[in-house]
Amino acid sequence: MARTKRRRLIQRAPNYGGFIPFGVQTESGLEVVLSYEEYEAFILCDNEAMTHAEASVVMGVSRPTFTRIYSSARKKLAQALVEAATIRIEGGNVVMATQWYHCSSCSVDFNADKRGSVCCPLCQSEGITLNS
Amino acid sequence: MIIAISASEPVLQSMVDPLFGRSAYFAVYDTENKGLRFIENGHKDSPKEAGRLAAEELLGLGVTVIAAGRFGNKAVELLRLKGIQMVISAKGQKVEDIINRIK
Repeated sequence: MARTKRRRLIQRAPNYGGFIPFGVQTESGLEVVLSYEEYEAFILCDNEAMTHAEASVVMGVSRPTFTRIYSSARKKLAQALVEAATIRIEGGNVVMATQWYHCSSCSVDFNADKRGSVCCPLCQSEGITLNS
Repeated sequence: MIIAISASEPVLQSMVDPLFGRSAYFAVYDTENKGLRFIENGHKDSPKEAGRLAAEELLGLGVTVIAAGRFGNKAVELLRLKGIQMVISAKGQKVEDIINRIK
């Protein structure tokens, strides 16, 4: 039996589902699915200017594994640009580093590490929902 | 409770800056004495680790809640370690909107 994959640690899922190209007919239905770990790897390297070694520690995987995730992300994004494909960001073998909640009356998101009774840090109301 | 809010300009009507580490100013509001002041972010243009440096500076001021549009991973790591509450503002919210919501 193959060895099970270690779950990748991500800080926060994106608050949008992906991208669609404009100016072209997208009925061809080309679609690229970017997983959460690939999205996170891409951000760590290219937006936060970390090296693969640093980023692999943040995501809790080995350096070679990180490089593989990252290459896969780059390949998919390049393919999506060339083929004018829709990019969907979903799925993946991930675990969130912290829980993110949404307060509907303040319309803000906030994090909480502790389980149990959590209330909004601004208005102290308990009308909050857990973001998936 | 002392809350720091990333701000694009040093005024109450300023937008909450979409970035934490590279925002131009921080609005520091003390709920005890209702004192508000703006501090300039000296790490705005630092080539690396702006978020972590800014977070350390705010920690020195005794801030316990930080609001911004987005936090970088290094900042998140440090702030979680220190038990600082992170708040992510919605698009188009102003500094005064956040402050008015505090009870």
